[in-house]
Amino acid sequence: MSDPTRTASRSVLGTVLMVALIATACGGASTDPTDTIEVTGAWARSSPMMAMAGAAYMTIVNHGDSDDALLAAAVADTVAGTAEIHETRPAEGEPAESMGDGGDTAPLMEMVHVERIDVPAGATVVLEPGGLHVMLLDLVEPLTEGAEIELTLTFETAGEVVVTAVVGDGPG
Amino acid sequence: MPLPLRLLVGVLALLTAGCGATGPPELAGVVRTPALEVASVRLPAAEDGRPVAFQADPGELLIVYFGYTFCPDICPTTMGDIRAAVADLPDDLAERVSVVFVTVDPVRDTPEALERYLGNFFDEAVTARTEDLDDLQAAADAFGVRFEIPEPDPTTPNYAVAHTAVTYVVDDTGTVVVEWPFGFERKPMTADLQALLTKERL
Repeated sequence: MSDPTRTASRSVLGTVLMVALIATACGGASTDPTDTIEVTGAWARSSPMMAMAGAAYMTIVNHGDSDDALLAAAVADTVAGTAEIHETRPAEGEPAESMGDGGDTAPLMEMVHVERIDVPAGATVVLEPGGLHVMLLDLVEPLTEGAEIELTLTFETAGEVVVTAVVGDGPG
Repeated sequence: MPLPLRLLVGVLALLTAGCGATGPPELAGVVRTPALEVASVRLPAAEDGRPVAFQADPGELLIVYFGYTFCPDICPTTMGDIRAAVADLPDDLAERVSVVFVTVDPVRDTPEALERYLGNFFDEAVTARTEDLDDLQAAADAFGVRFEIPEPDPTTPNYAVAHTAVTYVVDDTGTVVVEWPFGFERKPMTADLQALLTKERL
């Protein structure tokens, strides 16, 4: 069931569905829903043997009345050297569409370090494959299916939020 | 086409696959006109340097992807989707699908790194690697792949290589028969492979 959930998240409608799904199914990987900032469905893709980098994904909900922003992510040095917030996106000047019907203009995808991810009041922001993600650099050892890694997220207003990301092929 | 529409097309393709339609298979992925011909492309295999031809064995299909092992996001996502799509095929069809991964980061992607990386996804996958960037560019051009390796900078060993993220399916004549942009769903991938593998010519 993990794959349909993850792939559905690539559409706006799917995002809503995914949030609903995760809210009901993935209590283990969620923060306290009564907090202003709630993080659900945190997961990290199982990493190939000897891969140096990994990626973690999650859904961030701001239940509060004021805007917030994710500023940084950290991970224990037993898991990875550093964690950074990254975004995979079409490079500047590239078509935003993944590909035209003629098939001749697929965008050049670049990965950039982002300083902050804004999470406006009442908004839900999804970190998902092909978009925003927490990149884990210099992995100490491969991320194996079923393992749990602790991520410390630093928000501008809410401060530190600790989430557990489950290693697998998709959320939940 | 917006992604949600693609999903719909994919689902429709899946629903109509196997309805006994005649003629060329309707595919969910992108079919280019005229089709790309890549039979003449050769790159050395990472493992032993023997030339890798971008042409499937008779009656089979070859899935080709240009990426790099350091890529933590879209490359493993795509590899995972391809693995799942092939695994969803009936066994007799799945064994007629092979995968070639071409590294666009030959400096960091040593043959050993590539073997371990692809081994995580596929029992048997061929990796192609050349440090001759002109040869790599020529192969990429044949597919319409673009990539940008940043200038070497000792302070950023964790550099990213920008690249197009399209998966190509090549038949036994070296023709690209369908292309899947990044984010393409695994179910229409499976449907496309099934349609291509079961059409009369094969």
